[in-house]
Amino acid sequence: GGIDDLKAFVAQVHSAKGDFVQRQVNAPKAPASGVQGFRPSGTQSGNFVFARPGKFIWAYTKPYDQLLQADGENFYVYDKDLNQVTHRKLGNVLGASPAAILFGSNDIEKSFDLRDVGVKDGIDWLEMTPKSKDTQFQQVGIGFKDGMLAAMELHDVFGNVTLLTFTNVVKNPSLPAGTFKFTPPKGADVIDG
Amino acid sequence: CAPTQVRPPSAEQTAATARTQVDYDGRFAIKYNDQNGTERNAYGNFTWHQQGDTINIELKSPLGQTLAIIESAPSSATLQLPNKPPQFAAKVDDLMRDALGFSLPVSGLRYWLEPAPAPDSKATIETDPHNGRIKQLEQDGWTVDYYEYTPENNVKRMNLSHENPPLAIRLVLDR
Repeated sequence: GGIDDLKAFVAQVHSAKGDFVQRQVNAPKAPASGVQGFRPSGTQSGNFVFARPGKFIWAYTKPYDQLLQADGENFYVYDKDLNQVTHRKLGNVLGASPAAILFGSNDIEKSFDLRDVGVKDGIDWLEMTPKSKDTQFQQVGIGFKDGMLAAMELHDVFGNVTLLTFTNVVKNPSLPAGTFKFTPPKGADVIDG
Repeated sequence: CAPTQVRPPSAEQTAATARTQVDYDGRFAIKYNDQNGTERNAYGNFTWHQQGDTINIELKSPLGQTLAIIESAPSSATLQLPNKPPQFAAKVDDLMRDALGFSLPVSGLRYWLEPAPAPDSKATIETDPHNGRIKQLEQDGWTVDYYEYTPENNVKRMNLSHENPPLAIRLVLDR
């Protein structure tokens, strides 16, 4: 089931690259006044590459350019339109976030309870519930197809559901040295956020 | 081009603006000073949902998780943070400053995003003689610079700056 796929994935896949599409499938209802909720934001897509532990590039290319990158120690967010790089120590930026599942060190069961939830549309899903109650996530779903990472569903505490679907995933690709080294684009403001 | 003095828009115009439902999606970067004067920065995605006189702003992480929901209604304001009980106040500015360390000029922004001056105070506007689009607007202690418009004359890129307390906001609108 999903849990076996995840364990195999975490054990065998030390690095991977591929493309993703991100869709918000459920927007939270606005609070107090019950005003009709937020309109779900549109679809975003891009590509990713990661190498455990703590190195990843998560690049949104459509409909705008937003780059999230970690070199194992530092975490950068580059926004092309705002011409700005926000820099932070990686520290626990990953924490119990879905990024930790893919990119972090692989003691997942330390921070998540796992549960198989079966196959849907050919994808074998498992549910991960963060053990600590103080995270943005209520639950994370991960789906595998023939043992390959296929999708993730991020449920946050406000009822947002973000669906990530992965394609063209390559396991353990050869990555040139310096793949994760971040150099701020010329002219961009670098800010410690 | 000389900045022109603007008479506040007529009542009908203000009523028309109040009735509409407006939605924006975008990204923001804010530079502000916290309570003990240290410069801080915040960056993220946001969703703006305006219905009549009630404005909801959702600050989000790039992966779509809500970091805060701010609701500003004519006489009340609400702010929600993950895993925390909602906070209420009469004015949204105080609520945001206490909880987030900075506050957005929500009441002004609703008009500046159109783009237009807010109706109830004086504004100085500089328009581009070539296309009549607003280049810069000064109102309520804010300087708003419009850098980019979409072909349909919607605001794409704008900066807002405030002297005291110092606050600089960069906004890009995707929708």
